[in-house]
Amino acid sequence: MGFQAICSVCGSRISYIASLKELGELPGFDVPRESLLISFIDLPDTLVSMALSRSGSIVKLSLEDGERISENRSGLRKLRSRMWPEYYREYASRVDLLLRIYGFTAAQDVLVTLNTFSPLSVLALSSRALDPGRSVVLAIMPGESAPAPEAVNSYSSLRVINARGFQAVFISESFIGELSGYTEEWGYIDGMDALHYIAISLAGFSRDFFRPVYEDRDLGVRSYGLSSIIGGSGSVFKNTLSAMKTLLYRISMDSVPREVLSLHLYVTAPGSMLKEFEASYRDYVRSLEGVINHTLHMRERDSRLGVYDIHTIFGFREYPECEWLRRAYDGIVARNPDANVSRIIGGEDELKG
Amino acid sequence: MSSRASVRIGPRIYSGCTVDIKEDSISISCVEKSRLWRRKHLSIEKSLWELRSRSGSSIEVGDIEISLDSEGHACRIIERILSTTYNRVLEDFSRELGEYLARRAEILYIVWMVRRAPRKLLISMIGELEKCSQEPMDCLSTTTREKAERIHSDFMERLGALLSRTPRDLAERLAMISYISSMIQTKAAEEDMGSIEKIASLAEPEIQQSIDIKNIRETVEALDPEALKSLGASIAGTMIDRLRHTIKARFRC
Repeated sequence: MGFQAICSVCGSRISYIASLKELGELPGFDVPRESLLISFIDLPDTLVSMALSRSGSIVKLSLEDGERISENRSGLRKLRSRMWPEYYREYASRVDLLLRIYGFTAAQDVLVTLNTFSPLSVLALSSRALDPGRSVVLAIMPGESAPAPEAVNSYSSLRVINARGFQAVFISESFIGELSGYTEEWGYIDGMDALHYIAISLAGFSRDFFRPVYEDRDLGVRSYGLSSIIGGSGSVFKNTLSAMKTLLYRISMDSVPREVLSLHLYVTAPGSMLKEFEASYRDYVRSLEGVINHTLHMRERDSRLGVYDIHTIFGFREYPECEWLRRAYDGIVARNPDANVSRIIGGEDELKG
Repeated sequence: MSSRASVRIGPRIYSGCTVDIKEDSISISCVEKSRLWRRKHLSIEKSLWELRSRSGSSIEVGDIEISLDSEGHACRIIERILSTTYNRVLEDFSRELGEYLARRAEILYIVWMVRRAPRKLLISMIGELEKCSQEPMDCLSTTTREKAERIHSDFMERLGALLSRTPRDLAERLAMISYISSMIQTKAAEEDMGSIEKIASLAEPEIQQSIDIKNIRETVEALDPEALKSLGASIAGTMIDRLRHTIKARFRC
């Protein structure tokens, strides 16, 4: 009786001694990460965001009273100042690392919704973990009554968006205040809840949401305004065409550029309505002048009440001017050069002008 | 203790040998009776393992047969010495492999976490990753691979030393135990039940015992470092016990 192991398949002698070197090899670390990430930077928790917070594709980053870091959200401790330079010194590398840990560099598409007036937004937008070529930003802009520190943060965020060439959808605080609608999952929603709902709905279109926006970049479209109907129905609008026609009058920016270059409609509706939407869309785009790119994306959804959602982004060549933010920023930077955002975006500052 | 015995080494039979058995060595002195080697002394005063290597590959441990005029006292002593020597090898091996599997389980748990919960893993290591200038996963991969290489080369060095004083056929068997228990650990971390079943089917005829795939599947599903450690250790333990039993049966006089 020998100890020699024999292969039961081919009958040849097996040399386990020779095979031992295989044990030194480890399996690969290149495991697939989430292809889509939806991120909320320093936004308040809402009913919708809390309910969806366990989804692996949703990541929250916020300023809190103490530090806490978990798989889906990180809270960084608030500092003495409200302006971004102190946060940048303290947290820039930590935010960059967190975004990488959360898989931002590995994701195919990233939708970031942020308060431009939060110092964290400047840090997140300037992080190299966020690739402008694979990201779309929903940027909340403050109104004219914003205090100086928030105005500095907001204008700095805008400058970083501009310098790094992010495709951004600009949303004013006043627009969020007026947002409301009815959903069968959540009932009546408004304000920040409605914005979370829209962000998650848009991301739900996955590549269909991101591809037209990336395509627009090559056509010179740089910024967007958002317009949404949540829970539209036959009792609210005469028909789907009249619903579409109201969209242009509900755009999310305080000052809307004159020329609309593109529009993309994202419709979620009962299957029986999709043909009507398609016909209305054709009539609607015919009525718009100067539009160089337009798309319609539809998803079927069961609805007991026959309600539908339309989310639309209108594309423009220019970023919003936000003159009041620039004045506040210039005033502060003149007295405090540390707040000059050019120092963190360097050569990119003039890139997109 | 000395005894008189006849000894067969390969095809030759030596009679009137003096067999001196010490705790872990055996010395045999014989006068060769064949025509060619008449009156030539064969004196081998080395440990049993060295005897084999010195005598060349044609002599296998099992080929040494000792018969005595008395009633088998030396035979039992030889059996005891052989099994003591084998047991010592097995004990050393068992300890080295156990340590290797335990250290390896910690590394493989990282591999499993990379697949199952990469964020949770990376967040748990955020302190170490703060010095990382690349992607966190690349840093983790590099440091883990370095650690795995150190553990492996350390084990290979110890195993090599152990196998060098072990007959080749036993060495192969020890290598097989190392390979199978470690590879099942690896495949468990990869949740690759197909490969585990293939490895188990290769091992089963060797150990003449079936490997409990159901238990492995349950361990894989509830994987934690301790489960990985005990998975490798229990498979290795089963195989070592089986080997000990085989050796005992083989050298029974």
